[in-house]
Amino acid sequence: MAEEQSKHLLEIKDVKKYFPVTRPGIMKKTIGYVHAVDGVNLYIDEGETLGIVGESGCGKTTLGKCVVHLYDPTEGEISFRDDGGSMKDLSKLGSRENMEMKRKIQMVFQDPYSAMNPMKYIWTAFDEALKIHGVKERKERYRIASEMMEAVNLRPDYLYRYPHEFSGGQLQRICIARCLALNPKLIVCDEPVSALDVSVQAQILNLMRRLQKEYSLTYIFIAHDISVVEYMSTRIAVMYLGKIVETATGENFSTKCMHPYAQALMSAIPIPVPDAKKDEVVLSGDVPSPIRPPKGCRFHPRCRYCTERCKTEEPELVPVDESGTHLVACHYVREMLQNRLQTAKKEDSNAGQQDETSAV
Amino acid sequence: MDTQNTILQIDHLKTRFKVGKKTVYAVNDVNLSVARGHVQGIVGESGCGKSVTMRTVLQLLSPNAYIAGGDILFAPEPGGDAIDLAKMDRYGEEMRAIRGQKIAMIFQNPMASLNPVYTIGSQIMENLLLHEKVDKEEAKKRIINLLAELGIPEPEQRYNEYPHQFSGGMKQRVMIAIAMICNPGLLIADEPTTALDVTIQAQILRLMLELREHHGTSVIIVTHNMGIIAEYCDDVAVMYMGRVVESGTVRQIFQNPQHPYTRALVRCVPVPGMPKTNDLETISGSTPDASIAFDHCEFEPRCKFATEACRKGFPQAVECEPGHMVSCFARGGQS
Amino acid sequence: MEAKKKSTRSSNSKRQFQKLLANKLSLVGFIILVVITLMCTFAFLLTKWDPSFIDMSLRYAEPSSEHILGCDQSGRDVWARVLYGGRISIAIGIVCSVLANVLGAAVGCVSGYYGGKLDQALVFVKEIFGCFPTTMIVLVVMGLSGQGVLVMCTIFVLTGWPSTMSYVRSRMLSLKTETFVENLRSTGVGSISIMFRHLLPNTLGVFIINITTNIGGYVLSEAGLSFLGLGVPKGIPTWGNMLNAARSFTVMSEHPLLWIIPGIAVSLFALGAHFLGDGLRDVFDVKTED
Repeated sequence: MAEEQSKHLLEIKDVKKYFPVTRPGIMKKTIGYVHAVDGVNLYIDEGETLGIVGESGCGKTTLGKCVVHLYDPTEGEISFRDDGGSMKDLSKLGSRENMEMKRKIQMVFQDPYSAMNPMKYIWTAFDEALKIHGVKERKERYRIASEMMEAVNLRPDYLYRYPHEFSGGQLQRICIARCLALNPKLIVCDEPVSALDVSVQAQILNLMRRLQKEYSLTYIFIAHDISVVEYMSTRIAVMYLGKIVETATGENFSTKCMHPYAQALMSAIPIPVPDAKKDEVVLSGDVPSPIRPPKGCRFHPRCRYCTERCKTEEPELVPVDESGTHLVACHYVREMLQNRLQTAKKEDSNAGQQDETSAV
Repeated sequence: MDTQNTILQIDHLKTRFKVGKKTVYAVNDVNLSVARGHVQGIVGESGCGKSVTMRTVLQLLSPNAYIAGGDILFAPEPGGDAIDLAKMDRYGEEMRAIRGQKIAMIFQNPMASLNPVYTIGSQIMENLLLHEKVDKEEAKKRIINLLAELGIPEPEQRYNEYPHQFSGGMKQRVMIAIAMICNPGLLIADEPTTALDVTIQAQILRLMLELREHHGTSVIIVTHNMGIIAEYCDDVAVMYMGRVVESGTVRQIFQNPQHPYTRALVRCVPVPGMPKTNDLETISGSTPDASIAFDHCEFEPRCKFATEACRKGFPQAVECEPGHMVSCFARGGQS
Repeated sequence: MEAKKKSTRSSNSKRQFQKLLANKLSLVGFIILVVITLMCTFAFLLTKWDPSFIDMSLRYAEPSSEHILGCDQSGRDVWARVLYGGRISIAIGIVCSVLANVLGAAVGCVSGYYGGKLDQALVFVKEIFGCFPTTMIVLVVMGLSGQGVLVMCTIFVLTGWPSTMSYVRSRMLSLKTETFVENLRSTGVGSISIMFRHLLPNTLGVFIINITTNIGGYVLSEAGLSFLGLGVPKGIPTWGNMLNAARSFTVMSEHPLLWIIPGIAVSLFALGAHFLGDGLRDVFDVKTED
């Protein structure tokens, strides 16, 4: 087990992040907690891209920010493999180790316009980051910065421009270049393309894939657009209300996902192919408030298969395939699996009889 | 104009903005015709003039904008006369009678589109009483019926609630209710679901298709999402830099795209299940500054197939198959 | 490369300066401020008289070639007193304004960035200082400790910082949620550096506008207080002390030059500061293109 663990680059263990909700006024009083991330277990291997997908408010961004240590998790542990190969808990590091980890884990944000200080040349962003991480010579810093600008297909003399002089796509490339300048291991990409136009989106996605190969990067790719996530990721985790409901490898995720929410999410994505055949799963209702998440399975108020058990008992993530990489958190995953096998069989033998598993 | 089958026809429309000493050429020669009872999609990237075109139709433009030419022919009744909206006074009585009653519009951000100090019932009521003479009791009945039809649970109770008590998806339903209460012939939805989650987006778009079924409303959906177009629209117009570069039925556009821009747009979005070894198709560069007037095809600087001819003028639209129009020199367009 | 860099840099400051010139009113304000300040600084070139030299024989002397604006009730040259008095008045204005704004910005910065209990405490302190009427404090303190330039300036600063503090604080509250702050933090940049090197420059525009307009304000306040006899000690020539002479009805009606001249100086200066401050508003907004 210990050997296997050291393969992972990053491990997230039972991480919870709650934000207090306070009543406004002088006598501030905590009246509840937003359960943004509520017990997440994940691991990331070197060189892979882990996609995290979910709707707004599901906690995917909060989880990303916990990984880059912008937030301290309320509970749980996030550990990162250091050069020696042993796992280190990010919250228990000395200041020097902490800086080293900050260099190794970088983040790309959703809105490239606000990710750069509007008052400063973009060069200062490079300059400062490199200075903090120990590049003392100004010439050297400038060399690294220009090299990175070239790596993202921008002219190095753009370094002496203000952020507002760039288009969104260019700025996002600059943000990526700034991360790269620190020679990171892991880049957390929080909706890196959702603020961009589709044609520019493709430029950024291609660029990110190329850089991943060239600089042997590991990505956590957070997005709400599951088709983009599927295209980018080697492994995908679907989040709903602070919990992971399903993880599986990225290959054909759209067809193999099993959790009712993942399926609904897949079928809700409009596909740019006319007359594309899809299972019609339209979810009713809205995402419940993360301040008072539903008891039992968090998805039960919107789930079409909901039973009494779902309302009281919380499902665990259980493996559904031999390799153990495909995990689903649903009480009825076995039945679903059976159902799926049966329908596959039926399709093979062309027998069209419905059986009692239709309840699932 | 064939008013039997067409509800709206835009001919050579040009809209400009004066910003300081500069002129922004937002809409340059848009030609578009919306079939009665169809869902027309307008797709394009930000800054392509798709929203401005729709605002020009209703003359909901800022004071520094003006129509520099062209016609917007609107035929409320099949077989009836067409009226030219472009010639109307934007603050005039006639225009106001059309807005909300004959043509309704819903916007991108439902959170900001409702007044927080009035109940949603009174906000829907306002639009109804503005255009129709009905007594309040009946109006309320009609509104509650409509709310129920739009999938708002417990409509009698929700009628008296305030916008902050509604979630984003529910607010957009209320916006649709405000738009639909007078039963307009044409509903314009300007990025109706961009601010919403995908599962809610599916609900709202499906709802719009239902409305079309039940009321025969023609719908225009403005979006940047090719998936929405493919899934929910009958016809598409692809816009680039204030021009419709290609138009036709959804199938024509997606299965047989002719314009290089359309081709790239169709192929640059990842599709579930596509092989990951291939790079996505991209369009090099970014959209040019709209405050510089072009004297030739606007797409030429980013086009892979540009030739000398492309730098000489604007291609006129040609019909490459029935109902499928494309404006490109490489596809036989003439300047 | 270096050449390229310089050209972009200079073109930027040039653009800002051009923006300032484009606003006619602020240009006028700028010229007024510069001319008055220069005249006062180099007063010894413009007059040969000592502003405190008393010659009772020249009491209420009419303007002549020797004394171009005449003399006051003690026979001191009015022109020399306006020039040298301006030095003190302007110095008070600049010093108080800069100190009050720096203090306010620093407190606002810390308060807005850290938030929480510290913020509540600092806002409370601000409220207390903000609700004291300046004039009343001056009255009380001057009564207790006697008149003095230093005392007056201290009071100006102590009652002046809250407005800047609340502005900078609210800017900070919104700025700290911007993504670039998270970007910096995720790189490992420290709080102090983020606060003062990254966020504060984003409030710089209004900081400078505040300083400019406050200079005018403090010059006016000094004049007002001194007119009442509560400001700068009588012996020191300032615009306010000169206006003080106008409290006598005879001077008011029969020797109008004695109060009109410093009055004009004060008003012009304050007006200039306001015009300039207004123009600076545009200049410091990097995002607005011409």
